[in-house]
Amino acid sequence: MESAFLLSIATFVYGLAVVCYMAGFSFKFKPAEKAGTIVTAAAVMLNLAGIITRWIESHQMGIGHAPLSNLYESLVFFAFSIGAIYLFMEIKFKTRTFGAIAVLLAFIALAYASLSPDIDQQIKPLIPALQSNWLTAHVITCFLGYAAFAIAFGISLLYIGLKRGGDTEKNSLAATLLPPAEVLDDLIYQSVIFGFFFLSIGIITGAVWANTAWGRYWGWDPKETWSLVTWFIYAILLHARLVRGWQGKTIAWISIIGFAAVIFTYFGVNLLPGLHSYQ
Amino acid sequence: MTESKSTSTPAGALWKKLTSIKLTVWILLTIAAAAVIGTLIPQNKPTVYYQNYFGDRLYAVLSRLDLLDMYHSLWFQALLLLLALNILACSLDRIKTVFKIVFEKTPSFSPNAFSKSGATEPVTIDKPVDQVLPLFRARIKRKFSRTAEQQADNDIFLFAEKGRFSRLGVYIVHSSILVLLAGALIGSLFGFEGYINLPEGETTDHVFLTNSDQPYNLGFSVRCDDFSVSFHDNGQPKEYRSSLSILDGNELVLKKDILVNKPLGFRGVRIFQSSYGTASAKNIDLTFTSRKTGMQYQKTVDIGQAVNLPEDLGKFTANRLLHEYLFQGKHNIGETLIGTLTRGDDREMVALPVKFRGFDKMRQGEVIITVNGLEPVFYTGLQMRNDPGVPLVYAGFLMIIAGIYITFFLSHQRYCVKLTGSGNKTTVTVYGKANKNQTAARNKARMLSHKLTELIINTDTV
Ligand code: HEM
Repeated sequence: MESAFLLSIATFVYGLAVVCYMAGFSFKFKPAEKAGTIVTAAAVMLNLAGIITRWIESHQMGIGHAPLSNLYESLVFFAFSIGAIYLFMEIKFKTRTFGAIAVLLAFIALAYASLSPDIDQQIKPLIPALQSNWLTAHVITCFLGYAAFAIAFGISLLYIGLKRGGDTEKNSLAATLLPPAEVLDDLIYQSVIFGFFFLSIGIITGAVWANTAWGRYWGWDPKETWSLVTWFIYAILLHARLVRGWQGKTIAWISIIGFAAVIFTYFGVNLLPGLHSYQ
Repeated sequence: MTESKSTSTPAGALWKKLTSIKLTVWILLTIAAAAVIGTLIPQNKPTVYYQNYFGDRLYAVLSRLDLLDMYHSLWFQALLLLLALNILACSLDRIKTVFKIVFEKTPSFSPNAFSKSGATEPVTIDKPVDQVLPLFRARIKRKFSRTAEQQADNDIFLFAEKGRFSRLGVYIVHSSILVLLAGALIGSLFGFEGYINLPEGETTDHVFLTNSDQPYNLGFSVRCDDFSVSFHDNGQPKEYRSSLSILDGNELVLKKDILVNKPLGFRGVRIFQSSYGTASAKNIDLTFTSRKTGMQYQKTVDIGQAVNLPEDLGKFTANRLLHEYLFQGKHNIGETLIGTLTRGDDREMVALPVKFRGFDKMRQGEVIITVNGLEPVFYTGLQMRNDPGVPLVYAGFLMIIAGIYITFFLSHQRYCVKLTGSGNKTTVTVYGKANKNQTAARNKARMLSHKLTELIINTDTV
């Protein structure tokens, strides 16, 4: 399949972008960092091309539907979202310091989708319950949210690493390479609010879809429940920050816990019985 | 009022507790933990399931703690109520202050309200103040909803403000949660949810309630005219379709096909395609072989019909078609026709698996019966619901999205532009202030400073 080929190239290009960012970052070599941006943009375009090609392929098979219907397709879209949101943030906040870790996450998602033997890559027709436009809206918004949380998670790891190094010796490697902690802290917050906005829309479109398919907007199905738990964790993070003024390490840790909940909502729930499990 | 409540009185102390964000965090954590437990212990299964799974002892404990139908338990609903009270109290506690800021007629601007932390580097322009001021004033009036001007000693202050209403975003989000909970409450009090398995050709005027299995009268009738299921080439189901007629008394009022994701609505009741199965069969093609003569006789029957057999072999009645059948209580022989063979006073039950043709030989009877084929009569599994809370819930959804957007992506920004004149020069400093994200406010102040000074440079070149 053409799309699978495009996506495996995209995986490789994401990997290359990580190398560029790492090189630029470790040797304080600006041109390598700039190359990182261009290579990432190329990978995101290839990733998008892969998604569109897969869509076209499904139409050629006579079972056309948006490629957002199973684990493989959702991982591919997840990688695309991480790449795209990362680029957006890079431009908006004018920093490339978290490029390596953010793009690494996109790389991992796409590599896992392409290489894991457990993941079925075939294009399959949609079962009746999935035949709804709400599905498309639901998956897109959820994964934009997840991607923003993934980026927040990456920055949180950097932040905690920085604090570890910074506390013991003032001029540790991390402290000299990374931007000031306040900048990272602000980036965590910015990506979390972005993620929170989209996760909220994701949960809501899911509820509206459930209401048209099964006549109930909420049924405490494990996936629904876990997405609500995730939403609560990030709501706690935002309140801690906005009302209590907490910053720094605590927020970074909550964001890591929140992302663990995201991952469980995404993969772990398949171990539990329910409507959502992607086979 | 609320501010004056002292914590020394019990009511005041309670109010303080109710309005604390700490309580919010605890409630959210507790609900999250409970919800997680609810996904680990399967909910609302039959008693037997739990007894096998947990044993009688543990089952009794879990059942006592309401952990098996947790989301409907009293304690879980009490948690939700507490959450609602917390949000309500918190909003009431703050709303007065916020309203004061938002709906203030004549905002009082003061240079002292702006701190150094939001200030830009001063920029000096080669123009006297009286040339700079009108340009700045016009620009600021155009870009901001409220402006003011003040003069003190040698300085002129231009104040500008926008996004004041964004302060209400939080209250929209918080009240949306109250609206959602209210919608859910209305749904559970005044709505119903039921199911029915309706064979093709049959009509029902009731459903069975999901949580009690009691019949519930719909006030109209539903007939299933046809059910069909189609498959993709790889065997995956493609479409489930029920053709339904709605009857009021005996009068046909609506005919419609429903699919999964395409329900039908009638008088507030929505009808969903939820499952299907084989209800019975017609045109069952049977062969009867006489053991004595070896003669074979072909007969066709429907479920519920009987046929008389030749050679004094008796009478056969087709009773039921079962989706699966455990032969001798242990061997699953799949789809099976259950019939009765009557001969004089003898009545014998026979089980005829559709897939195993020679099966009936084992019975060692006078006649061997084989099922050659049959036409299934499907039933369609319909869910019916009426949820009068849905409009409120959807309103809550819209409020959440709008509220979160306003809260996080808009902010209440205030700026103060200080102009200090000295001879032919003017020094410009911009102070920024926002209700959140002070860093962003300073950046925006910088932008404003940049835009304003550009204004002067542009007029210079013209
Ligand atoms: C899940 C249910 C929620 C509960 C129970 C809740 C409850 C609360 C409470 C008790 C406060 C403290 C009020 C105060 O001290 O003034 C608060 C403040 C706040 N909440 Fe929530 N909240 C919830 C959801 C949200 C969400 C989803 C958002 C996101 C937009 C949000 C944004 C805020 C903000 C920005 C504040 C600070 C308000 C201020 O400074 O006046 N809350 N919330």
